[in-house]
Amino acid sequence: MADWEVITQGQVTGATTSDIDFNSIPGTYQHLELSLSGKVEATNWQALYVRVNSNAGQWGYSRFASTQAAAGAVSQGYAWSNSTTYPEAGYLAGNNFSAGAFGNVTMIFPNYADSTVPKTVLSRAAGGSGSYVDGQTSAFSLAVTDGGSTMPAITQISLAPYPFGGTTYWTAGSSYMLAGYKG
Amino acid sequence: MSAVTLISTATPTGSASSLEFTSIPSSYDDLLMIGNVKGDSGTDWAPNDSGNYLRLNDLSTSTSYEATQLYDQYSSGTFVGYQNQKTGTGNAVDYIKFWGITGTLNSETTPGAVWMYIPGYSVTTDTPTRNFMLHTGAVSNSTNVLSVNVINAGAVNTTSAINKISYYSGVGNLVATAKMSLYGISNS
Repeated sequence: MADWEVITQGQVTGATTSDIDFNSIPGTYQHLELSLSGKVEATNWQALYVRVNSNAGQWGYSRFASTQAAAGAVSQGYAWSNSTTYPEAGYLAGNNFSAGAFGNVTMIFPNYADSTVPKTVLSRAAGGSGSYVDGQTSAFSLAVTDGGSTMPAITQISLAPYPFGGTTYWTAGSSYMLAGYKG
Repeated sequence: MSAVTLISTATPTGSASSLEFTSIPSSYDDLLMIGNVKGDSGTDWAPNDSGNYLRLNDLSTSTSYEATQLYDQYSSGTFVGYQNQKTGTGNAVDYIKFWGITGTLNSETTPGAVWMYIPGYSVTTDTPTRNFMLHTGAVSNSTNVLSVNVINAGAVNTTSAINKISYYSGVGNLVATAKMSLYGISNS
């Protein structure tokens, strides 16, 4: 795997982790890949939120997703915030509805270390449970700027069910990995 | 153990509206392309411009590609489109739509993003075709401009190994910050 390396990986331990943080991300790779397999301590599905550089940046997204309807229904959405914020990037199943609930997310951050231009993220996620479709399958395209025409290199990423630092926690055993593609 | 090998990271010159990966070796199992796309047209944003497209091996007949594209489009916060675009027998196309390349209208600097996977690209004994999955998108921070998010999967009507990837901008020359990497994936 010479040109693809795991930067960090781990599992949630304990019962009070609200944020999964990737800190001190080196700028030595060309692109980042973030994978997560987990669920949250909630009765129903939860939106997954992403933020970078300790909540610096103005975000926008365009997305589509399946819904919990039995068939046919699809939702879509768009948003842009001109204040510092963080966006949705997928949907996760809630553990309290079904022990078999799951959620998987893969995110790509192309050219994350270029400090001269806004950054982009592509996110694909799926979640569900055994007897009830307690989740959504989704695809997101996201962008983040510094409020102008640039954005510093991404050195920190956090993932959380809403809100960051809140009281909706990741289920113990949820696993995550951040990897870098060399350029 | 599988392995990822960088084939090349391409930096646009800023003076060409297309970018190519040529002489792709056939020694891997799959190909993966990751990067950004951005044109320099000051009169366009247009991530869905008809001039934004991709070709493999320069295939350009009317039956070269068949694909299903799932996408959404938003403009001014208003949903303006969401549908499947399916091509099929008798309705194939001469290129793969490559939405997400944006111009610089309204001083936009935000690029589009690209993830493309081409499994079994060097298989030549299997029929009928090579195939691909493509996820692209572009989000604007200005009003009255279009944002897109696209999943596109399809087939390439060839039994030859893929040795060339080319994409084209309909919104000006590709800018130098829109770097694109091509990787070879070995499954064993």
